[in-house]
Formats: sequence, structure tokens, C-alpha cells
Amino acid sequence: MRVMIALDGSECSKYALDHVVKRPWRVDDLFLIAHVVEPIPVDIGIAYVPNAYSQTDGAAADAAYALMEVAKKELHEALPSHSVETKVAFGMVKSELLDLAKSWKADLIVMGSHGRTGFNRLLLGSVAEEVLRGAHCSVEIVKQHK
Amino acid sequence: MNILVALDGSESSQRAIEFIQQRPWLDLDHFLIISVVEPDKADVSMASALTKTSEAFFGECEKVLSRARDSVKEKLPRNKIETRILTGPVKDTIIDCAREFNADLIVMGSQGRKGINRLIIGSVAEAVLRGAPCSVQIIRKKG
Repeated sequence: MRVMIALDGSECSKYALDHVVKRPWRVDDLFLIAHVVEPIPVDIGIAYVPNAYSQTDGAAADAAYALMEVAKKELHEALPSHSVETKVAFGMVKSELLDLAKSWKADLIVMGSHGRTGFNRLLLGSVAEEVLRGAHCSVEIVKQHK
Repeated sequence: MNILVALDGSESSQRAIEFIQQRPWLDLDHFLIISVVEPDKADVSMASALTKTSEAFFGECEKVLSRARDSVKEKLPRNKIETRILTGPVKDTIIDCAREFNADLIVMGSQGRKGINRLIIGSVAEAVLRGAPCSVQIIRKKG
């Protein structure tokens, strides 16, 4: 089975990774840890500032690669004989995740119930919901046990 | 881990059972397979007709559940597997059951028997996902 784990660096997406680490897997299961860097809309209300824009995006990209390395290491330590790939995509989170799931031929997407923009623990995050609706494959939404 | 599997006899819920059969589990994992019979809204003026339909539906549920239990048991002989038929509004009943069972994961198909569009996640699945106290895995038919 091809398992894509979508992370966004939030507490909740950490649960998703922890969940994968704790569960049993088959020897032929493959993992892809994915993260999408969404362009930061700094140009709302103020003039578009190209330098500031690319600098923030560059910092976001660096943070993304760092996040992927940590996650890959954690997964690799728990499942040393499994193949773990990482991918940082740039664009709109929902469409990038769905495209990636399709092109990588994921059988399952694992993600947290809400990400960094979530404000209510009881609500299902909009990204999770959109991915769930649009995904061609099974989706596991990981919630912290209440 | 406590795993609640919600079935309704649809194709995608059959996929949920296949998923459980195909995946590795720990011996300690405990499965509860349920089917929810929702009181029919048509019973207002047709009490007796409803009772008959409900009874037939109960029978159907029992068949679906015992088939599911047998096929899971075959693959996972060491695991504890229970089945239960519940009555009530589907979404609330599944969520209450998950709480009571202290479920860590709910597994269900992406759409039930009322779904009309393969691309759209079932309303029940989505409602369960929102209200669930635990992780939820929505199984979708491949392709």
C-alpha cells in the first residue's frame, strides 16, 4: 500500500505522524511525507512587495524542508526497513495534495483533522475536508483521542 | 487499539471490510463491527408497514454483520471481534457508540446506500468525521 502522510507542522499533523509510527505496517508498504508551502498573501491591502514576498516564501520553504527531514528521520527510525520519500510542493494546499496523491498513486492519505489555521478543536479543518472530498483514494483523518 | 467499523451493506462498506482483512493489525486490536438501523421517517402514517420493513432490515443487517465478522475472523483469528446492531439516527448512533467503545479509530465507507455520486463523500461519513471523538478512516473504492 502507498501511504501519503500530509504534514503542515501543526500539533495535529504531528499526531498523524505519531499514529503512523505506532501502527503495524506491511513490509511492502511505501510512505511519502508531503508538505505544501502556500504562497503567503502579503499583498492584501498593501502594495505588492516582491522582495518581502520572496523572502517570506524562501523562509517557508526552508522551514518545510527542515520539517520533512525531522519527520522522515522519525518515521525511518520507527520503520527502518520501509521506503520513505519526502516531497515539498508549492501552491494551494488542497490541490497540491490531491495532485500529489494522484501522481504518486497513493492508496491512503493520512492527515491531521485540522492544521495551523484551525481555531476550534471540535471542527474539522477545511483542508482535511476538501482533501477528503476530492481524494481518489482512502483518507484517514487523525484526531487526538478525546 | 479499539476499532469501530460501521457497515451499511453498501459497496464501499464492503471495501472497509476488505481493507481490514488486507492490513496488518496487532493481536490486541479489538474490532467492533456495527450496523445502524435508522427509524424510517415514513412511519408517521404507516406504522405497521414500517415494522415489517424494519424487521426485514434487521435481518439484512444481521446477515451483513455475521458475514463481515466471519471474513475478518478468518484473516485475524487471534483478534477480538464483536458485532452489534444499533437503532437510532445513523450519525449520532455511530458517534455515541465510538465514545462508549472508547474507539481509537472509526473505519467506514465513503458513501452509503443513499449516495448518488461516487465523487462525493457520503453525508453520514462527513457528519461522523466532524463529530467523532477519535480518528476516522474513510475507505474509498480505488479508481
